[in-house]
Amino acid sequence: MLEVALAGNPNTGKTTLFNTLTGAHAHVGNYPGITVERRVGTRTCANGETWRVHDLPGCYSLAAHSPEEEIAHQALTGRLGDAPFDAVVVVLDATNLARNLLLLVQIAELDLPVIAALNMMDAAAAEGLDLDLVGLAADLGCPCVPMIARKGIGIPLLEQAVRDVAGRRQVKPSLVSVPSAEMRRAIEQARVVLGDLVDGRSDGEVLWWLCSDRSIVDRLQPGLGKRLELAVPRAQDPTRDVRRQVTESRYARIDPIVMRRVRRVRPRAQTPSERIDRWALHPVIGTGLFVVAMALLFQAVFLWANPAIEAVDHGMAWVTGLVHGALPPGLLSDILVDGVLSGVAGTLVFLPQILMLFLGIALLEDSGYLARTAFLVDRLMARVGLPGKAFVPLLSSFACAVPGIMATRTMGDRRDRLLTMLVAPLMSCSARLPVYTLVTAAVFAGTAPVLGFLSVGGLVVAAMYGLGFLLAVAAAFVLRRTAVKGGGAPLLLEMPPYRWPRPRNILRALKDRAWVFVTQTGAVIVALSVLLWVLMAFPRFQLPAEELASRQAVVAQTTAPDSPQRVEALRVIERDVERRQLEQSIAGHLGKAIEPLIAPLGFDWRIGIGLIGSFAAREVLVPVMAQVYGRGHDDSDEAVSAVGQTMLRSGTLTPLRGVSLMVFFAIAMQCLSTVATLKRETNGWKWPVFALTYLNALAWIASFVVYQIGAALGYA
Amino acid sequence: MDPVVALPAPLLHPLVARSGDRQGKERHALTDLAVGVLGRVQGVELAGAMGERLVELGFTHGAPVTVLRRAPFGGPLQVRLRDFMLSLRREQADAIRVRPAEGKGDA
Repeated sequence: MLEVALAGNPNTGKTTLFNTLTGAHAHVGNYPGITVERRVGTRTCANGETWRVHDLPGCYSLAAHSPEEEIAHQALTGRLGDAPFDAVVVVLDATNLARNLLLLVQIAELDLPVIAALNMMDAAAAEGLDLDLVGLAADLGCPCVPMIARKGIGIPLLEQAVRDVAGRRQVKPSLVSVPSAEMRRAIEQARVVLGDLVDGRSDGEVLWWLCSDRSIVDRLQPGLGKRLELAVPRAQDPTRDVRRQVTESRYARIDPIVMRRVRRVRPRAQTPSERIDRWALHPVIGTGLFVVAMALLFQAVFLWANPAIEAVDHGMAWVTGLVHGALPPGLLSDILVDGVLSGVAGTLVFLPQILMLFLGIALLEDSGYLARTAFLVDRLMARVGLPGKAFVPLLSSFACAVPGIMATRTMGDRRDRLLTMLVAPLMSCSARLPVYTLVTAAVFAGTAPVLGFLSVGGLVVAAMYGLGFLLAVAAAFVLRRTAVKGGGAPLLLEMPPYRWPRPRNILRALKDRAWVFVTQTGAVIVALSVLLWVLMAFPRFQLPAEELASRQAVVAQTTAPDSPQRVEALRVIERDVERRQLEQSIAGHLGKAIEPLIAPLGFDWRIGIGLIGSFAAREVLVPVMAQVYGRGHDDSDEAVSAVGQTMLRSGTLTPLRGVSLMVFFAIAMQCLSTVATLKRETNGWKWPVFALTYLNALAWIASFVVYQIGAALGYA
Repeated sequence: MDPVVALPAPLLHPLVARSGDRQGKERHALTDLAVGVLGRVQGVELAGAMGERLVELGFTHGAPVTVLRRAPFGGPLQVRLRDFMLSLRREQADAIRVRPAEGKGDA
């Protein structure tokens, strides 16, 4: 089996080529310890030979300024434990050869067998470019394969080229930059510092260590970055730094080749993309289009996913009923139904929104419009301390933070991405609405409208949305200066030409997203769900036999057999058992134990239990409160309102306490699915724990302020 | 058929080129370049990773660059560098020295 790597700049059609080469035989995973996706697939060639195809992360340069570049280099130099590559196919955009060739030169300098796959030859022809492939191959010293990957054109030639270079070093030295005396000296000095790391390895690798970001070098080899800078000091004048010379000398090799081999057969005309941009980036029309596009995306996630969500709910209810019926009542049935299956349901229920959002993002990204949205909102977002690319993830978080956090993968900079993930849960998601409804329906239902037409409940809910947003801005401001210091990549992004989205790529992306979410995030959700079930189901409660017998006797005396009254009376006993089970469970004890902590917020132990139960998902507060009061519950608005009325009557809820509860829910992180998603997207428990801590502390403080000030004003 | 060269004018060795234009006092930033006017990059006066990244993207000495449009309210610039489009913030564009080239831009 041949090991074939695909490398290339973003937007060169590398993914399309990967999908064409591997068909359905690919899987997506993560590189260890880092949130860069690893895609590997297999191909069976026309002659029966098989390849393992490695899709390296897209990058403009190998010198590492980001995890993608670091991974690409580590994979190419065999530092990730893969078998050495037999061929490295560098996918190049034929319309933009010079910048693309930089990567090829860097890879060739690592002494790797490279192939130049000149993609988008049709676009190059349309733009009036004539490429002399024979001359190019001679100058570059490697095979040059013309391709139109999206139409599958050029694959046989590529197969042949891979066979030709496999195992052989075909790169002519002419492609590799000739170092100046200064660079030569720097390489020697760096070699001394790098020692074993580059023993017997190419100058290209030495230059990689020298030109990569210090933070990345330090992470790979603690202290190495500093020692390298001491050995090869940076010049006072950045334009004279030897690290710049390295890049300039590569371009000095590339530019004459491109000039010789790429001829413009007719003068440059305005491209279709430039004509579209006149409207799409127009201050007024472009902004209008942007608002429409974003409104559609939000609608899709917020509303259009609903039928599918209901279908998942019904499907899972059916499965749950089936399991419930098939198993004898008892612990096994309970753990399966209330622990595992509810976790599975809690995972699958997110899929419709995730798929909707990623369908939208894939369309935006594949068409080239996503880069334009960042251009349009960058200034606006900069005012709130976030990059333009954070807009779509945060907008989606108003529907649900889980797809919102997943959407941050379109952001380049690691720190920007982390910051966005940490503030995304503050956007008021749709799971908070039942809680808002519960409170407002109970405490503000009878209140006279403000100005005659604005309902107080509606205003309070709107205020919660505003509160979440303002706190997100404030949190971004503070976190940027503390926990997520530095970073903040200045907007610097390529604006790819507009292209028709390719259904195959989109389906593939959706499949990968869904798979990763279900298998990886889902596992954590199920585990946390079982844990929560244990908290609420242990220790076991059994109604004492005499009490049960006497109550059943009372029911038997007062109601007629098979009458609705009897059914209802028996259900009352059942609910009472559920209530007492919950009350004396670990969760119940926890709820009571945290009462002193939450009393200053105006919450009693009943709400305490509700807070613990609603950690599964915020909307679970409503059924848990119903259970605390020993009431039945269904999802109807009347039932929600009835639970609120009961809370009101028992004094658990007052208008002030209700507002305090809403403020708490607007801010607190009480969603194990978000925790699981954060864990998966940051590849560790550090940041989810951090988010839990800071958001819940913030929620406590805000509720405390609201309740105490309200109480002082006499609203208690 | 008129063979028009698409890509950069011949490049001198970077060091030679740079010492050459030290004579000329007049230096413009990319931000000052009028929309649609062709300019040639003189240098990126930004230290650290950001400066290196810009050079890697192709802001090398002599590379052709044109400002296509500016986002309103001091937002980013859309430029064509060599043969591709990118957007960058004004802070970065301020650090990129350019010289307006002879002839008309092609925006």
